Amino acid sequence: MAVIDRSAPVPGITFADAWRSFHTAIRLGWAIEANWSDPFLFAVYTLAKPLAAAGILVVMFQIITGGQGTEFLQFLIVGAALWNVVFGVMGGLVQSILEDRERYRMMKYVVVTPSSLFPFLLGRSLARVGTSLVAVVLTLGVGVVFLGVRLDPNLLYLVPATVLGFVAVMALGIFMAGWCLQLRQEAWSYPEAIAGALYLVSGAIFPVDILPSFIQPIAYAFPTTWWLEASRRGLLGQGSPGEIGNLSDGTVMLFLVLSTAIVLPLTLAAFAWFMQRARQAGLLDMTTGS
Amino acid sequence: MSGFRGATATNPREAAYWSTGRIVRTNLRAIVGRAYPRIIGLTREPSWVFFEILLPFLAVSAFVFVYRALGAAEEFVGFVVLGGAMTAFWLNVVWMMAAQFYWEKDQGNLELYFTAPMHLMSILAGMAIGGLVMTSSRALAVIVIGSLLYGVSYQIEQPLLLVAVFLLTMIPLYGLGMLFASLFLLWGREAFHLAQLLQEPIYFLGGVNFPIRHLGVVSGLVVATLPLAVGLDAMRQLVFPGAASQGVLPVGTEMAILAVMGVVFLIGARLALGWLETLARREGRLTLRWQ
Amino acid sequence: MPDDLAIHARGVTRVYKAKPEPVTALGGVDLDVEPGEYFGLLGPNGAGKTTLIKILTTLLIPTRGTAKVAGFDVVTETAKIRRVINMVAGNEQSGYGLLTVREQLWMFSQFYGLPNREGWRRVDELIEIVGLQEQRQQKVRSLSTGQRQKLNFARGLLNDPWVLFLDEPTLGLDVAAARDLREHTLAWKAAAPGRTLLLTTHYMVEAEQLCDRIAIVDRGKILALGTPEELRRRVQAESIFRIELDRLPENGGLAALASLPGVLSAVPSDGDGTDAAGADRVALKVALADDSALTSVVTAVAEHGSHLIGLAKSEPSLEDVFVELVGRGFGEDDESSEAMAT
Repeated sequence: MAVIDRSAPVPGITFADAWRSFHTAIRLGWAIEANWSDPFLFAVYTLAKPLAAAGILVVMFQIITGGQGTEFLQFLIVGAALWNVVFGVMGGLVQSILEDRERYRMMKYVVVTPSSLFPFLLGRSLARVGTSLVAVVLTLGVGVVFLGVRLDPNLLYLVPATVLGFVAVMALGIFMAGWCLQLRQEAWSYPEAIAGALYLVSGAIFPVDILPSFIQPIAYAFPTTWWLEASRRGLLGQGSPGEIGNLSDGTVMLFLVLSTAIVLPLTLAAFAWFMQRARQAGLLDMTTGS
Repeated sequence: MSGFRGATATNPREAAYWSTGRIVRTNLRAIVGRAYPRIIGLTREPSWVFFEILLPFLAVSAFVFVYRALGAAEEFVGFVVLGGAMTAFWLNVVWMMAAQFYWEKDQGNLELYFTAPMHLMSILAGMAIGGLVMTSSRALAVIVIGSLLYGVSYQIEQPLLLVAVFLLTMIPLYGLGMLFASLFLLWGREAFHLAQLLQEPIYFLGGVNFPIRHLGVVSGLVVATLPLAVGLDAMRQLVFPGAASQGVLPVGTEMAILAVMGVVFLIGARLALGWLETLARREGRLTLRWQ
Repeated sequence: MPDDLAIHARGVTRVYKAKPEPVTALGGVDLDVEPGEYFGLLGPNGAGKTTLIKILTTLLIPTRGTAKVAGFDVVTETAKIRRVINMVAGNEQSGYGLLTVREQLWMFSQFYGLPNREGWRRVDELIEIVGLQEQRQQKVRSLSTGQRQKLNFARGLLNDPWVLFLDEPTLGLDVAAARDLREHTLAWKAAAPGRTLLLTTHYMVEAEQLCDRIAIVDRGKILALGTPEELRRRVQAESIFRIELDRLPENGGLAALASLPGVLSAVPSDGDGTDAAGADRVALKVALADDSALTSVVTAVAEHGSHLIGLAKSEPSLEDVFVELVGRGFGEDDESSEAMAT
């Protein structure tokens, strides 16, 4: 009979383990996300939400300005388009964790594998992120074709801004996922609530200057604010109205890097703490519901 | 072992024949029973105060600041605050009624509801009432805080009429929720995604952030079909000075439309629930998990 | 008369649409259960037991055939049926985790229309009966599996149903918890004569202990139906005993045993040797037409100089019956369970 050599070092999680977990979870997430409807309905669902969200802003703009002031309209459209990523990432991560715990009751089985839950969660949520990217492209496309938005992309600036922004949003989403793990089933709606609140302080649909002065520092602390500003510069070739628009491209990128560099380790540490608390409180296989 | 015995009928056929009064009382008790976990849950998991009140208020504030950035007249801020408050009820309808059977099926509760002698509408009504505490708190918080913070002024000359419009709006709204819930029985996961679809597009068509008159021709269609839009339009006319010019139809006409909608949606919901239950039983969908 | 029966089914068929081809979960089931009878459906996974229960509890419409519960049609008189039945399934996770045991049961009592005060009284009585007094204020989500199932069982009795459906109620429970649940079921039988139970299970002990009659089900059909004794007789009509003696009966005693009235055969069996104390021992296999012949066998053994050391009856199990009918054991083929699993 084989004997386990207890003196041998136990291998930790390797990159190969994490990668395997990640790409398996991507396939799983896509299978779950894509199997609920026929392609037509799926397309409607993918189109209607982001277009309606942008449509609200466009109508508000039209009512007040009568269509004058394309610069502000472009500001609105880009912000509304990119915010789909925030909804998609946050919603995707929280949905993954709650679905796997409460609905599919899979989470405990993933946790006890040698693989970490973290790459599994990231991979599982990527399907939602993918559909949100479609929404971004669509919203921008409608803006260009029907609303006179003029794109002037600077890829050298846009690509790093996008990557950093994506990392920042994922970090915030991971934090939300860990937090919602502590809560009841009704937490399904919380990512949208958080994303809605971030709407307020990220310069997504109005310049940060409009906020009361005591809130503005909070807005500037979020990496999403700098990501949106950098993305606007990368897409439109110009900055936002207000003080932030007066900063140089380099300064904006620097703040994006710094804010992301601060937020990322904090949120990862928070996630680790949330997981530890979940294990202590027996929340990993809790079912709630009311 | 006397605890085993309850009813006093002498045979099952006698026990199965219930008077109308007993049927009504059972359904009323079922409403109370189903509302109970919702209400008690608020005290046992208080995080909803943050997520359901504070954060939505912040989201409403975002649209207030959009109007401020555009240099809009202050009345538009009032429109957004009132619209934001009403979205609380819409979300209650969509998530706590329409999509709720989705969760109940997973839990295994749906089949127990079907095998119990109450009507499903009682369960839905219980869910709605149970969620009303949270919903009303959210709506009230948005109105009170929003009005105080952003200096919204109201001119309510007919408060009773306003209450009547509000109540008339709730009936078709929740009737629509029951109708959607019956669609869930048929569509399963598709209904869940459709519930998600019923947010931004409804905010757009419902004029949550602007008077629907500005949608032009579409506003006529919307007023005929969407209780949220009609009710919001009527309430704005009653609370904001000069808002009558922004309304689609006079308040009286809109109240009549709401009344008709209420009847249509409630009857429609009852019929749809019955028809779709039969369909779901025929296709075996009632107890299929992960459908 | 079908309307006087607790459960009546004729030609009940249920076909599920599935790919690549439809699956027949029930292929024409005929069943009559008398009021007050405890009836078992015994069969492997995928046999169609749960499908039949779902039809009888109005969750599913049969593709063909008719079924009645308490004289009411399961398709057209569902409201009346729901007033007089209840159901409990194994591994049930129903209800709301944040409610206490007491609250959960009270909530369900409201769904059955019990007045508030009576509801609480009944809840407290049932909590005591199933032994959950210490957990009464505990949240449902913190209950163990066995406690959860006791809670489910209590829920099943809230409305004092005329017909109770138990669908594999001891699935996943440990021996003690399963035994407790069976005892509660028997206690209900004693306290509420005239109430009917339909139990589905693949545990033979459970079926034999609880049921007056059992139907053996496989692949959507009833293969055999009768009391446990009748079913065993299908496989082995005679009673077989293994008798251990200190020595073989002398002076033609074995032939004498075989010629006794009621004795079909008496032959040496395996197991000769010595016992734990080192004494010699022989075993005989004696087949009797019925158990009453045993007395004369024991008397004859003594008369022929042997001493009786041990006596055991060898009976076929219900699985033996199943194997006899189908040609395979319970666990050997679960292909059909994939399509039926819900």
